[in-house]
Amino acid sequence: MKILKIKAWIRDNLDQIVLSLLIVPALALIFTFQFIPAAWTIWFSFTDMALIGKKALNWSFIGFKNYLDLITDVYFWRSMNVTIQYCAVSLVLRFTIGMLAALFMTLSKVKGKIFIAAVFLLPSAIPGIMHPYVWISMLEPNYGTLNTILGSFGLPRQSWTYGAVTESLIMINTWAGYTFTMILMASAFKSIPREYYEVAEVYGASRWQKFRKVTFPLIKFPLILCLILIFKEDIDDFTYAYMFTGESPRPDFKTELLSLYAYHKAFHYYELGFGCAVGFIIAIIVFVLTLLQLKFARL
Amino acid sequence: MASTTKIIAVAIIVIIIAAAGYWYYTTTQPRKTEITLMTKAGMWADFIKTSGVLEDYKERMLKEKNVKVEVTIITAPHRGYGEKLITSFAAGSEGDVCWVSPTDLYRLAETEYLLDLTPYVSKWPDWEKFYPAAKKAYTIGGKVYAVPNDAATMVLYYRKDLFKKAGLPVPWQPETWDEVIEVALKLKEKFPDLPIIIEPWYEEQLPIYSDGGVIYDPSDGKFIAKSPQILYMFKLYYDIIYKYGLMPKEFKLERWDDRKLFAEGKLPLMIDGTWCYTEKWGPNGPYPIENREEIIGYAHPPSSGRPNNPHGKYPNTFRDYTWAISARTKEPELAFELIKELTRADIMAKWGHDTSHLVVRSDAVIGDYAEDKFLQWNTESLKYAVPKPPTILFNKYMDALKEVLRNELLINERTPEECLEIFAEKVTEELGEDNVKEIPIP
Repeated sequence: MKILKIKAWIRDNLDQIVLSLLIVPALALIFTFQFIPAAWTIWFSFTDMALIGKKALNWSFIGFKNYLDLITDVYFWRSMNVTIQYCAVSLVLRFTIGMLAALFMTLSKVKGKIFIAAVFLLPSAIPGIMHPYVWISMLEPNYGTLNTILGSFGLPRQSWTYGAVTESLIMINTWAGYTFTMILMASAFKSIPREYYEVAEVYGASRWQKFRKVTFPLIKFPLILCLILIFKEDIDDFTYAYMFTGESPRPDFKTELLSLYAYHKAFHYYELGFGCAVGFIIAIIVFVLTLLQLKFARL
Repeated sequence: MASTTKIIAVAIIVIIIAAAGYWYYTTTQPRKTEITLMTKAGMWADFIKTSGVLEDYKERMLKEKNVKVEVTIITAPHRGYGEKLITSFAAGSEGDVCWVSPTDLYRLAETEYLLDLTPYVSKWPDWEKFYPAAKKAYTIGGKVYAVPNDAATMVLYYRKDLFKKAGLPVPWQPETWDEVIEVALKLKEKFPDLPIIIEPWYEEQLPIYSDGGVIYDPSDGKFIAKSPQILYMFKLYYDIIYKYGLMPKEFKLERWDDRKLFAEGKLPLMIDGTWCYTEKWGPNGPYPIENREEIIGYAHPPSSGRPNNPHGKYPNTFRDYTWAISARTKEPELAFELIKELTRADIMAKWGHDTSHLVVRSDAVIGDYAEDKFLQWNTESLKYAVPKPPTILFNKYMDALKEVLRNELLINERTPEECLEIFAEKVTEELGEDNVKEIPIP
């Protein structure tokens, strides 16, 4: 009787069972390669484990000590400050330039627009790992392209790799990242039906009114999503800062983004536990931003 | 019945013959195994692959030990090699034999990641041929943890062509740092736009030795947090940068490529390691200089002029790489045999000549190496080279020194006296009060 009931239940829910089984491999992969490493990172952040030295052999559970040390660690806050500056300025620049490029792509009637759009998209066509190499040769103080150009106009050389190194990082990030805004916002503009504007014109709406009443409400959510995604992408940026900084932190911490600080703590000073604690802080920030992103994405 | 007995007897004989054949086959056939070797990518790995050392090793192992050994080379980029090596050890993915710098060696030995080579070197007749200073540098707590592969010291390189244009004598060997500054000022006068880099490439402690000081006292195992010689070092750097305006501080902060500037004749004077002569400016280097002998002049870094310097006329530092074996290796004997092959006199001489590194065994001054004028000259500096203290605290000491030099002297432009106080405080905090001492300043 019981077997019959089970059989009936299976027959009734066959679709769900098959669907559930189909996601098992993906879940197993996520569990193995995401959940387990994340769990290890969280666990390590509560220990004084080191990659080398006595603490690599005899490490112990130290509770929240790493997190308490973080609060009083002047370098952590310096790193946080640099990261916030980097994210805020990058956000403004990536968004503004990307938005202008998106407007150009959707509104302009210039000949050769497709070619120009392709040029706009070039940074995203170049592999990310190549960006810093290209830019290091551009910004090198004695031989770099930018200082050579400045010199040819009789202008003083700039300290792109020291005095203005944070600005240099932001410049590279903006160059590499504005295309994201451009693509996202161009698709948002394109998705607005032309009929809406035609109706607005019939009612005598001005350009500003059309923007306020038609365009903005329809691009509001992609726009917010775009801002969150840019910030989320930048908060754990690593590659450009690493390429400029090398293995050890710069003495002035001008390129020490949070992710780089975590890396240096774990792999330069070999304080794995502390590095994991910094990494977990970044993960919390990204998690909060992801929740926000999901909230807006649903809307 | 009789036929059955015969069959059994034949069967037994066949089995015995088969077993004997199998035993003979398995005992005479070479055992197969694998050794992994971890080194830097680029010229380091290329040299091993092309020098024929691996073929010789495999042949010798087959002949002497009846082992067919395969050697797999694992590489990591030059930049960040130390971090990758240590991460590999922590992850258990290191090679059986690894290319290790002295600073990483102390850390790895403390973590018990390295095999104690003392029993192996004690049975190796060639070990006697290695220079005592090199052997001492890699002996920690009486245990040998690595076999030195090469050595390098700091060299004062100068452009002969620019010296001649400035009316300065060539060849040149300053006896004191004051003489270096005097010459640098004359160069500055003649070439006002050219920088002069009088700072030893990542061997910042050199002027301490120049003034007869030490950073570590082996008699009590304590590091020196404060001394007249440390103050001398800060003063020398301060004068070079601020008092005389010879070395732009952007050189350090912007990380200029001084080797390229030198090759292009935009830098008349600089301090760098032995290896630069061929590795950087040789025909296969990134910045080749034609007629190197005519263009590049070289001198020993001088002393401060203080009499009776315990390190001699031209105090210097001792650095460079070694071969070590992972404590986890399953083939310690074979791994050590590989090191013996890699540090063979002829191989060491070839490596030294091809990359301008000094050999560390007395019988390796042979072939092209023995003919190389620069290397012959540079070998003399080994007499004055001060080895690094074989303790993990050395890394922390140097980190503190570099940090004070860059943050306080370069960025905050503090005076030498202020730098000394900050350094003493920092190094005491990092190393612990029990591990440091101060020498009174008159």
